[in-house]
Amino acid sequence: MRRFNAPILTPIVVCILTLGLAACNGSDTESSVVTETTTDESTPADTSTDFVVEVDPFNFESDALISSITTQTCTLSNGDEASCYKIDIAGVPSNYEIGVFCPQNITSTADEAGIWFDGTGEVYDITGDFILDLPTLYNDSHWQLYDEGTGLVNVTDTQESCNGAARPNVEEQYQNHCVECSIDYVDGGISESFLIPITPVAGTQNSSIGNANVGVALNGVVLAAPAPVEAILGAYTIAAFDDCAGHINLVAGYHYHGEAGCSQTQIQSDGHAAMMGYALDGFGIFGMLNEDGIEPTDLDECRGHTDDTRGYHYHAADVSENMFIGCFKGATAR
Amino acid sequence: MKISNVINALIASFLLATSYPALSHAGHGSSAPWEACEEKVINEDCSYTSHDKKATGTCQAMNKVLMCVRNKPLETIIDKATQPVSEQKQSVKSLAKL
Repeated sequence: MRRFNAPILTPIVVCILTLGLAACNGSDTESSVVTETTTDESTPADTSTDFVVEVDPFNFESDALISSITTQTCTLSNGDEASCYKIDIAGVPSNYEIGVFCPQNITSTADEAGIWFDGTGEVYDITGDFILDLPTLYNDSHWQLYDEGTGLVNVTDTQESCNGAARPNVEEQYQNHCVECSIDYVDGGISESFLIPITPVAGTQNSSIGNANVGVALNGVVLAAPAPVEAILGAYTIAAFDDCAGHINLVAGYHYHGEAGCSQTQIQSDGHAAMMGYALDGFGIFGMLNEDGIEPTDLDECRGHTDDTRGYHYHAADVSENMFIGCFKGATAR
Repeated sequence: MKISNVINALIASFLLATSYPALSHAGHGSSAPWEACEEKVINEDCSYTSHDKKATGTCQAMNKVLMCVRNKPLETIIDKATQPVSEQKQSVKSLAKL
């Protein structure tokens, strides 16, 4: 066996140490600069909640609800008694057909499947190439979502496999599957009732988003908390979304994890981003960008701000961010 | 023990110790928004870089775990090394505005 020469190895060790540390420096090195994006700098910062706008039942699409909105007394998270709207959503979008989710084989194109996002700022078309590229994308050779002999993608194409895979604790036999469920498994959609304060009440402290729902879309679909991406990827699965950032499981039915523009049904006459839903605290949620493609620069930690027309309201994050808002500014119904 | 054996052991130990972080920083980082809020508290400022974009916001609890919620428009990061000289001047102007 050849023996290494210590005087030669010493500088090599130093080099390895230097390279190893450099690999962890990320992108914020001196070789990078940050350029400004197009922003609306004329908008003064205003996140006050002095002016609030009541929930307007007529903002919902007519087929989004399975019954008329009613009023009932509710107790808010701050302990106050208030009047709430009881909103019974259909659980399926009123304005489009639920799209496709998983690709069938490794030659599938973007038109033949849905999308995937993991919260880090990128939306992927789940094409055959995406399936092939997973080991590189996630830097793990254990990814193998297709049959090497046939090129067919492993898809949860039965209710049993959907049940075993479309949940945080994915059954081991469904590792390395693209996960999808049919809306037929939940009888065409799971309707759900929400109590939302008619007049939003801003709290002295913001409330965190739990693991339940964030709000309701104007087209009758639940706005869910962020998808458990770590668990999904940890099980070597892709919980495919359709092009509207929704997917199905047997507990929640069809629900959104991001704002892809499919529920922005209330166009604003002043060029402001269109309205797409209500948060559970009653404040409206609007799209991320106004009609000129500009995102507000004065959003608070919940991704909200105030203007003279809409009062305090939220702007949804980009669909790739796996969320809608950062927190609840107002009290929610218990 | 000969000195060469000691050095070999040191090299092996170092490579083992650094392989995971090196791998985790290579390619796609799917946990950047969460890593940005490690050892931070709720509402504390945070930022992370992913896909040549820099996101800036505050740490918020989602599913009881802190993650960086962006509340400023994304900023595009340009690598000077691959940028034409004419565009580098433009970048300097943009940077001055920040």
